[in-house]
Amino acid sequence: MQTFFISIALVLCIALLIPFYRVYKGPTVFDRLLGAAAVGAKILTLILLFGLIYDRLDMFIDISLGYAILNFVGVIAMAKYFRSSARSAK
Amino acid sequence: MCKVVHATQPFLFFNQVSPFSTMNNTSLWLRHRGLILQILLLSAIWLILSGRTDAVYLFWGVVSVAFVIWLSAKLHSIPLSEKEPCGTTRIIIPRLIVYLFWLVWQIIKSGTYVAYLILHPKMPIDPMIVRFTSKQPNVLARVILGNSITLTPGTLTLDIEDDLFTVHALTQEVEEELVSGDMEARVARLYMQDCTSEDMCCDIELITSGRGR
Amino acid sequence: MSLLQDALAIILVLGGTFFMLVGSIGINRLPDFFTRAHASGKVDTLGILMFLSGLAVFEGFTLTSAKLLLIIAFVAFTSPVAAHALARRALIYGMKPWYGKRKDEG
Repeated sequence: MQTFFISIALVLCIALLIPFYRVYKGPTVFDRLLGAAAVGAKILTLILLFGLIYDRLDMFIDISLGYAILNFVGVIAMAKYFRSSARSAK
Repeated sequence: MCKVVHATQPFLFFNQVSPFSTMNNTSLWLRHRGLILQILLLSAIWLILSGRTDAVYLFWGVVSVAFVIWLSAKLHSIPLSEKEPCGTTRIIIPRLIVYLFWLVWQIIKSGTYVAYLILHPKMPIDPMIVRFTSKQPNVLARVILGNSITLTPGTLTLDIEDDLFTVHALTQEVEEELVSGDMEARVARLYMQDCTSEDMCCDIELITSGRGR
Repeated sequence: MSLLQDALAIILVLGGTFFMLVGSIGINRLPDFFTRAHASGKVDTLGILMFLSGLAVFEGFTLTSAKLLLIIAFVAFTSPVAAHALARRALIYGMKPWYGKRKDEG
């Protein structure tokens, strides 16, 4: 079971690195934000996987809950920020 | 979906559900339903997050539940839109539960559908923007509908202004499925409206090329 | 019982990983922002939900799986909201959607 989780973690690392290309390349700011949100979603699951591998899931799960909330609030705050900058550009 | 019970008044429906309760009980339950459900949910979340049943933890749990309810009672006085307060009509809880299960099935369908579109070598997408108006009973129903549109296959809510929904659709088929008004009628039935799916979705406007805007 | 539980957990975790991988590929492969928001809002959500429910099945009936269910509910409600908020801001910002190659030429 341990090897299974470690291999899943490796696959997740690949899935985590792919959106970084979008964050780097993205033609607009929103593409970059979307890529960042996708990276955050994968990190959320990676944290849980590390909890399982270290056998301390009860501790890591609180971290991942906080991470989920931070990810959501961060995206919402960024979206709000870009509205106000668009208004000032007009 | 289960057999829809067409009820026109809240009292009728709840008497059908629980015929043994007295009238007084029912009205008390109806009047403070939101508060009771909120207290139950918050206590469940506190118990799950703390995971202990010592007296000290339970005391602080009661304190924090009371504090959150006091805070959110202030939030109720802020209306979500200018014209109407949020939640003028009551939601039907059994239908909400059925709707949630239907939504889970929709999430699975939409995930596999978009995954198929992504992995298809030619990527057969034909994106378009659909605008339609849908008469929903209140603001909360609009929020539920917007979230459900995002979760159903190939559609993404872009904007909601009053009754005007702007939706981004990936292909022609999902656009037709959206415009058929099936989901709009489902959401409206959550709030006890007697409606057919045809007249839930009107003034449809398709934007399929760059010059349309 | 335990074997069945493990098998279900492995299937769910593998499916979730697959969908998250597809979501990452979609974010790179799709042509414009709005279609990418589809990939992020739907495929990723499904992947995370399957993954977390797989972990909850693996844990069994404990407090940890209850917390996992809490995260599942949170992600299921907030992930489409985040995609919607970004897409709405992009529309207000004045971003033009991509309508397909065929129509651009004609």
